[in-house]
Amino acid sequence: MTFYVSAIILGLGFSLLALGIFLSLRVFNFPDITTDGSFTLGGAVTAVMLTWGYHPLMALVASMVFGAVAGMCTGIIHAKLKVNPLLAGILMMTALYSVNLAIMGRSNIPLINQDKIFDTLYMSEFSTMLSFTIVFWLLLSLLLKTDFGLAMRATGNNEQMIRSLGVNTDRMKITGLAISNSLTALSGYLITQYQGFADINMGIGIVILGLGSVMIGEIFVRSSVTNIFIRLAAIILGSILFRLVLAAALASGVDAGYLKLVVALIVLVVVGIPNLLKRT
Amino acid sequence: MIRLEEINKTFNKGEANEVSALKNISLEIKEKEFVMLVGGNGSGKSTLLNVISGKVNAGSGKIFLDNIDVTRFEEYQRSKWIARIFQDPLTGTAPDLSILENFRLASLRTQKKNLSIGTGKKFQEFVKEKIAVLGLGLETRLNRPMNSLSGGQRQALTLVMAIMCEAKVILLDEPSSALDPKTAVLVMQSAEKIIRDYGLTAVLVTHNIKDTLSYGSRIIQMDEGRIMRDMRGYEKSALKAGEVAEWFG
Repeated sequence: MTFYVSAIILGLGFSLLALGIFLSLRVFNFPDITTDGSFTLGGAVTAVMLTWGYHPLMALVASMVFGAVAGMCTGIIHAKLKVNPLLAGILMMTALYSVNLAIMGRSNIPLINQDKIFDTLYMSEFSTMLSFTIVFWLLLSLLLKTDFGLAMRATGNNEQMIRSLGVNTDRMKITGLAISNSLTALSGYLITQYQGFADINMGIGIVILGLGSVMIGEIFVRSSVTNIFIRLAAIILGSILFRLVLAAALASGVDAGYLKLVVALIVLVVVGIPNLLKRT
Repeated sequence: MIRLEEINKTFNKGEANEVSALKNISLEIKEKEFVMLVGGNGSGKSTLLNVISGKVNAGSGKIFLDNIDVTRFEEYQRSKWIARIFQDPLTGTAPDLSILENFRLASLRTQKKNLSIGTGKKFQEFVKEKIAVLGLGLETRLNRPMNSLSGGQRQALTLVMAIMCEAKVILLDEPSSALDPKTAVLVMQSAEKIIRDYGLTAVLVTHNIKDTLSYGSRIIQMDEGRIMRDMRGYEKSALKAGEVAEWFG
């Protein structure tokens, strides 16, 4: 049972990353893989700051700011230097590996005796994760409903149109990627404290978790639903389901070494099956 | 409303492929006039539209809107007066955003988009009222995404979006030519209704001879960068399809 509870907690923790991916991929139509780097960045900043004795809330702010800066860099590389989105993300992700290593000073930092956000808030791991998820779900939904948010969504949707309405689309994309990657770093912040360590490799392939969660979530909402609260809630649900399926796979005896293969297969099924059904 | 004084426009000046798109065009379009602009390919009608909107700079000559000299104004500065509708019905709207959200953006036009939610009850009622003019029943579907609508419905909504701001001039570049005949009629009728109801000054480019006869209060024919014919009132209504077809030789 605790096995599945832990899966739900992880699902909530990774749902922030999924929301970030939704923002870059769906809102801006930008396949951003800076994620792998900015997730670890969030974890690295958290581990180092907690080890130095900083307050967990300080580490929260710092990791989100670092994530935002990483996203801005990708945005600037793409918008100003006209580099293809995928390449811009790969460049940042590669560079961040070294940055993360420099921040951490070594490849793994355990957090054993340090006060964590759960201790600060006097809340269980589950309710902490749930609170963070709800707060950022509401914040992001509200943001996307504002006039600024509408302009953001239109930027990824019909750039020509929104530009004719006087919006600087370059600045929009840079801002959007900053928000997206600060959510990813927040996810790294939470997961690091939950698992009790930061590792230089913790972000490898993490982008697929976000993509998978977004796609699983979208199974539950028809495309005719424009209510952003519902769309984002579905993605959070997708993230939790994703972790539950992975937990079930592990429980049924799948070797942990094959976990990434299972992840890839799940995403493939989610992406491929609807297309297969559509054709007939 | 719109006044052009001796407008010349030459593309690729001084090169082998020099094209003189507009030759000494002087033209006055009065308030609430609905001009049908016709002419063969390369006759200069699109360039004329672009010069009025500011997308293309006039080589020489002056442009006045509302008696204000806008010759040096950029396109976005002129968008205070001018709304544009293009041939492709998909260009004017954001497909994944709802009808309501698209209208919100259109109503802000070039104003700053800040962090407040502007799609409340009051705004919804306002949009409903505007859309109801079309008589398509779309006012009950404000939360549907644009991509769930047909090209014709989207084009009709784009027309209404154009009048969400205080623009007094509307420039339409073959608004119905990418649509099937039935929807094309719907879009043309909506355009006429909106132009009339809101007292707009309109210039509509078209290749459809029937449309030039059924709509508009004035017809201008262009050829090789010059205005060849300019008729209004009785003279226009007496025109026959065969006559117009002959213009194109």
